[in-house]
Amino acid sequence: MASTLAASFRDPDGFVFRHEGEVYRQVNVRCAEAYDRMMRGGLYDDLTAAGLLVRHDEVGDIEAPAPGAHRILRPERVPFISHPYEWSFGQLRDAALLTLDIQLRAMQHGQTLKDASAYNVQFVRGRPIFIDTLSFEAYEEGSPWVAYRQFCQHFLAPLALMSRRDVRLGQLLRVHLDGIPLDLAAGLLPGRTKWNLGLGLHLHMHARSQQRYADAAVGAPAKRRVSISKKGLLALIDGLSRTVAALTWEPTGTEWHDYYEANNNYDAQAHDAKATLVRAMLEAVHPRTVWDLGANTGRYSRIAAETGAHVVAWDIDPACVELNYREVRKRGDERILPLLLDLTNPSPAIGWEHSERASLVERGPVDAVIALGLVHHLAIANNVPLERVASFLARLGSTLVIEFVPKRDSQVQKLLASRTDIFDHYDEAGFETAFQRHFVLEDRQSIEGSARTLYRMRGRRPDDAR
Amino acid sequence: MILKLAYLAVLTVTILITLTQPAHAYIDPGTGSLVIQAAGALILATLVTMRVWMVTLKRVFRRLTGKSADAAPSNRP
Repeated sequence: MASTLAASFRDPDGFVFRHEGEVYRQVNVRCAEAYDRMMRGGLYDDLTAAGLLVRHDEVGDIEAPAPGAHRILRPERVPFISHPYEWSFGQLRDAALLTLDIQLRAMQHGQTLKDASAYNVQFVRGRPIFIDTLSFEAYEEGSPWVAYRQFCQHFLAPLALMSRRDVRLGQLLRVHLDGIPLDLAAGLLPGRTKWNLGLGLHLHMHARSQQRYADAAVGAPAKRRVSISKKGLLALIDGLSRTVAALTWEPTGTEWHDYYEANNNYDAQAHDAKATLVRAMLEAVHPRTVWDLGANTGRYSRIAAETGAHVVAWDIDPACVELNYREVRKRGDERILPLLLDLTNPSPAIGWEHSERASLVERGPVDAVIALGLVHHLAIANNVPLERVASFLARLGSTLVIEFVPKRDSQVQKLLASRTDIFDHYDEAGFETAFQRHFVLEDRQSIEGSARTLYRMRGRRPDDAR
Repeated sequence: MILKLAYLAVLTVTILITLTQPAHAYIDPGTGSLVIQAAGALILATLVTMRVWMVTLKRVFRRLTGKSADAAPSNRP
């Protein structure tokens, strides 16, 4: 039984569906010509060889779920679907440059992208890759790039806001699913950006132009059609590329990115001891999929990846995610995906019918969850009862490797410094009691050189004795 | 200076160009976006051409200064 993915309904040229646990894409007859042209004309080979587009196989033994099918494709598997509002600055920028690179190559093959949504890009093997194989249509010289507005809203506007105003403005993408409206972006950007050629043109003047023509009468008598030469369009794409590449953001000034250097609670011995324990605990269960919650710059995510797992390294701090991503690109890590997440307010299910963009929980559970240096932030800084922390973590993965940070630890002392200590049950015993409601404790180790304890737990199954 | 000229160009082009809504677009590009795109393409294509001129000019200039350096009498014994 095939079930169409709830998010895949806008494009009349095809849709994505799930069948027996695998993802497929139906190509409809109305875009058969464009599809065949892409496949036979060299564009598909060019893009897949350069690692810019997902490969796919054409399958003949699946029944088309809807009428009008031309082909059924089975695309290369994406290990984890992430959303643009979960990406760091660098990830969004690389996704933007990828989109423009693909548009340039498409034009070399007489084709063009018909949409430039950030949701066409996913991260596979640490790098951005285009996943919408049906995004291409024939390029007629003289016609404008129909995806220009979408590119400016999905990519240029958030990148400019993150770079020139505040990195946290990337979260506007959570509210505005079709990219940040240009008038909003123009209004929030510093005035100086009007004097930048790229930002002034593609954002400020673009916003004004949209407002100017917004009230134009529908059905106005036909006037001269706008025509853009191929040379002009190539210059436009190149200009956009330069503008995006010139936007920078340096990850400093946030509280977490220099955590390991700044905090003397840990000396090198304790770090090494913890690393050895984490590695041993993971090797005991050999997870294929891991979520590292509060991953910081990914120190322990790398250990998990070394045991063979695909790891999503979640952190609340944009600077940490950015540093982790830069490290992933530098080292060519293929099994680590750094992403932004506030565990006390995780990515919700949004879009039409709450179904277009899956929530955090809907994209799990995974084999193992790592929660190091985290529980005191939830229980003390955020007042979440330990039992609630346990029940939530139990939904995310079957095995949990978690570090308990007691009150005598300097980090917790900092959290308690400016408030009353109302946490009577926050100690090893209280922690174990709370977690045993949802987990079976399998291993417990003290971390040498610190007051902390590392646990390995397995989520309770219905047949476990209480 | 170049920026000011560019903006004058945009203003002129924006006033001059009018167009119809394109049909059968999968997404709505919007009239305002099309106007800016046309203006942007003109400006940026001009800039690209200018950049090429600058490179050529520099090359010519270097060749000229190189030639005059060769022709000058040497002060070394």
